[in-house]
Amino acid sequence: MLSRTPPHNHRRGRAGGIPAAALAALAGLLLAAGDLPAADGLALQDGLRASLASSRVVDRDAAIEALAADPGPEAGALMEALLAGDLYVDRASSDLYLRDPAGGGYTLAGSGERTDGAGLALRKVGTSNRQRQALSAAVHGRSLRNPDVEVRREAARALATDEGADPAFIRGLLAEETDARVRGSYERILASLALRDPGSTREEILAALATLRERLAPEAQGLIRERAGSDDPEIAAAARATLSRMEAAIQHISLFETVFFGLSLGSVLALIAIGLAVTFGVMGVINMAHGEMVMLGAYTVWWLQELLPGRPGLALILAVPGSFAVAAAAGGIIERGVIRYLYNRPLETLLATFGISLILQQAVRTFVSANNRPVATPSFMAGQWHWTEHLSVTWGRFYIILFCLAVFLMILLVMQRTRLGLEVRAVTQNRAVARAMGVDSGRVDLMCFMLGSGVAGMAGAALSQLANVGPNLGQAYIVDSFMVVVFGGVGNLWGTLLGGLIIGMANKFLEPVNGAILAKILIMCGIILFIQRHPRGLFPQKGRAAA
Amino acid sequence: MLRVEGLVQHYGESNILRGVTLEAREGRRLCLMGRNGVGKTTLLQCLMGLVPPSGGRVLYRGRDITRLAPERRARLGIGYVPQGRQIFPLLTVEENLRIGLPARRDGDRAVPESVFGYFPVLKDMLRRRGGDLSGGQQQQLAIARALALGPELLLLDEPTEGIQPNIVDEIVRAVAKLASELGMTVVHVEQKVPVARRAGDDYAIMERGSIVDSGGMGDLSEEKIRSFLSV
Amino acid sequence: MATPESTGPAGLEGAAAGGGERVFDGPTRAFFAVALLFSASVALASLLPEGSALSVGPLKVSVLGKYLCLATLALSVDLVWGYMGILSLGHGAFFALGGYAFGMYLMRHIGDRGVYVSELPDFMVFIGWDRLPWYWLGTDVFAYAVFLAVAAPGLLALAFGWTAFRSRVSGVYFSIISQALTYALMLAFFLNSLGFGGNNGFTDFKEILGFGINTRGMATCLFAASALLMLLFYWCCRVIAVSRLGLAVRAVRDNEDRVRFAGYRVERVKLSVFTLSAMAAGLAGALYVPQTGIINPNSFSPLFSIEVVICVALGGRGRLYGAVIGAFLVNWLKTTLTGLMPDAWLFVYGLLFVVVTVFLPQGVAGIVERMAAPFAGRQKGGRRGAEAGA
Repeated sequence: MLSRTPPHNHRRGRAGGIPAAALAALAGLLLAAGDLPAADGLALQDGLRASLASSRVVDRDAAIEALAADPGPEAGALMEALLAGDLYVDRASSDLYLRDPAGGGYTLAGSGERTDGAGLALRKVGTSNRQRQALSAAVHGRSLRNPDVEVRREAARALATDEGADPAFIRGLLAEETDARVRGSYERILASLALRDPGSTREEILAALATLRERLAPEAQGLIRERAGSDDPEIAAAARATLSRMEAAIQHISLFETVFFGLSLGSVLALIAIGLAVTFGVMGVINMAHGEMVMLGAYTVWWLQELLPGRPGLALILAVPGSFAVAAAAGGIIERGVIRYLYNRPLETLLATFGISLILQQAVRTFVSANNRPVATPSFMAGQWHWTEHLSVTWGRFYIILFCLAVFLMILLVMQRTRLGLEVRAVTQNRAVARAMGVDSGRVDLMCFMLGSGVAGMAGAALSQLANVGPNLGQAYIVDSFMVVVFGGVGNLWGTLLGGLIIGMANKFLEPVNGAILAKILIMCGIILFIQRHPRGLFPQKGRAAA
Repeated sequence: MLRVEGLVQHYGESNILRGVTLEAREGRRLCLMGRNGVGKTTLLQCLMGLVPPSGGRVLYRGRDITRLAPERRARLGIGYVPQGRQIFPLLTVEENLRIGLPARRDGDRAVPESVFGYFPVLKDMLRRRGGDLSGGQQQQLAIARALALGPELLLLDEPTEGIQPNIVDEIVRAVAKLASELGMTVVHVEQKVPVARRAGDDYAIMERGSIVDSGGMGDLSEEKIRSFLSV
Repeated sequence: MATPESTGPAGLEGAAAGGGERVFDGPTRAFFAVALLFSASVALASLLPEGSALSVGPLKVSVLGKYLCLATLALSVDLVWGYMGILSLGHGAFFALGGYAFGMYLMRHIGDRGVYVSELPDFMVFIGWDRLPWYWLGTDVFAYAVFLAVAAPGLLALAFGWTAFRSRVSGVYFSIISQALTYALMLAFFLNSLGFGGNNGFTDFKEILGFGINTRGMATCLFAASALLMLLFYWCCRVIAVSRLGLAVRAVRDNEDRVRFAGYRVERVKLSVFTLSAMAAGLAGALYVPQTGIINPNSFSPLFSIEVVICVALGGRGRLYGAVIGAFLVNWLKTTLTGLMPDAWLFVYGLLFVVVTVFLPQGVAGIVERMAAPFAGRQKGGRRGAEAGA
């Protein structure tokens, strides 16, 4: 029977709290169930259908108990759907349907048949809080025994935040577990529980502290601190040692995270800045509308997601060439329409492109919306990649770093290996003589500008996954990207990459200390001062005078 | 081949070219001489289209190219070797040579072997960066670069300036061969009189922005040299 | 660094060549005449009783006064850009600093008439401060506040200019960095912890020197002061332009290296002019704030600074009266357009930027000059003037 669970503190963690007693009871059931002959799938289904479809709470309680006792994957799927509110029953046939949250269609439970739900009288199967607690416990319990090691690791991690876990249960799991990481999680949970238990002996406490010296358990910091104030000198010393180890480890993790976030931000900054670096290096043009190219790229992602509802991942992938095309086209129009007439007047180009940036921003506000547009994160970007127990990176940010590097390499290749790249480099070094050699510098200018804008568009597509997409998106990053160009050395690709990464990381490092705004200010001052000593940037470009 | 009629050019308020009229005959080497600052380089830049004239005409094979862009002139068959070499310092020797290939009128996309025939030293340095070459090698590269376009008219602006004598010889000989074997027309700005005598079939002397004397190289007397060219 | 586009229009070259030019040359005399006439009539009209046909209300007077302050700001940019060829995209920062400095005085003189009935400004009470920070001390003294409005921007310009010019940062680099400077200041002033009102800034002013701020008399006074400042600074600029310093300045613009080799301390020249221009901008800002009734960190925004540059560009840079014309034109346009087409005015505004730079490199003043050319005796410049980019 489902026991009434004591009131629970809401904790951070995956399921938001797992009723410990229920877990223990169900765990016991599970352990026992392993010895029972497997129930007949179909018979279970019939009884279940009736119970779940019933309006009586008691019936549904029984159904949930039965599901919990069933080790099969189908029962697991049903429980998860029920927990998520995705389980429906057809009032006519009492068939159970699982709703697909992404596509909005339905799957008939048991047969896997898909339908869009038309012609069915579907009613959602509701759950009470208590039932959901029980379901949650059961689902997690299953996860802890799941053959897939990743699932077990995830569940073990989640278990760590639950204060009410049963040590006996966990010792049982530990005995069976083979994976080192999951074992590690169990050991640290046991150690925390030992510290928490007022009945622990001195030896047990010392052993627990020793374990925790090896295994990082941030959730146990409070407990350890308590022990540090203990009257027993040995315990106090052990606790203090454990604490300092823990603090050092936490700092390392935090450092790692900062570096990683800095890299992801920095790589996007570098990508935005590359377009600027190319156009300034080749044409001596400062494009104040460059930020709007980024913005257009980000909006392309939104637009494609609107065109392809339910397939945000596909939309994002298509947006990579799409954002390039949109931004490059815009860049081409700007170059042919305005910049061409301002050749050799960099300050005027700056002003004119500023006007264009105003026009573009207002155009988006008028023809799309003045508010931010929602951009969905596809599932392949959302997950976490756990390097170790505690170090994890978001897949999305990781892909973004790779993406930016890939684009950078592509540009490098274009510059070094293609005819266009050759002409661009020649024009950068000596425009007049290049023309005398038959190079159409006007065409080179146009191609350069389009390339730079297109790359900015792709950076915008990446940015759509990191920041809010609104008409002012460009403005938020334009000053930063100028700084990257100035810092890295105009026209120099490697300098821009390095500069972007450094500035991105500097941003993230200063943020926790001073807050995002002060970080920005400090960085700007830093760059201004840096420019005094090195007016041409990190890697000054030879062969061309800055305007 | 090339006719310049009354070319006038200003830079700001100063009048650099004051009505230059000259003719470069096909297959012959014309040496343009004069003291510093008379406008020789400006004239060549006008011929190549790098600097717009204020008046007058430039005719190439009878066609008025006065307002034509430099890249178009290159494609018509005019090759240019600027003063001070001005090779692309960060491009390799090979890249320097290849830059002009699309302008070739015969559509050839490879650097012709004949170019290496005139300047064999370049063949061993294809991977070297232009800026790493010595002055003499750079000058040879600059000429080879222009030759890679397959021009019919070659404009050389002081190609021997600051070059060691043996390389000067090589250059002079190469240019002579170009004219005699390929029938190339050459306009060659030259300060050094002895070099000019060897390197030119005709001469034209500039002073204060216009041509004051011209003729076959044999007519270049000591007296003329003294009056127009000495300091 | 002499490139065709860095030379100014014909008038300046003629002056340099002629030497010994007078401060009050033709255009300057004309300008002063117009300006004095305008200011006097507005001031008088504002003092007329309200009902009468020719009277100008205090609101209108304040708007015109604001335009005059912005004109002074534009002049300060023209001094640095048109004469020295240095494009500062952050001059608005000096204006805003002066505005905030005087704003401190105005906030102190709200006294206990604020919402929280405290001697401290409302926003300080709101964030829980119980004392004035040290940098607010003395700001209740009028003379000190005015001094601060000049000194703060001046010091910033000195420091920034010294580091920038010393390391020969020039051209576009300088423009970018000056923009970064004003952007950084904007971010800083948005912070509540800085003690300048955060994103709300200063507002709700009550009095200056004991006189109520929202009276007709005060509006006229401020207007007159703005006009005076503008004319005074204009005169200063002219004095500089015809003096040896001015010749040095123009020479610096045309060919910095030659000037350096001739023995002039180029850095000193640039720095002094730059600092002077910043101080004038600060004073203009100080007069601007009581006429607007508010100052907030948006005055530090890069957009504001670039607007000022467009004023100068539209009016025609390198001729001081161009900056004034441009400032009036652009701001009048802004006011009219935001009223007529609140949603679409940014389109027109952005288009203005493009049109001015592409089609009107010499600005409105260039058009005026071309029209007046047949009547002017001298015909200097010729091709150079025609070919010169802006």
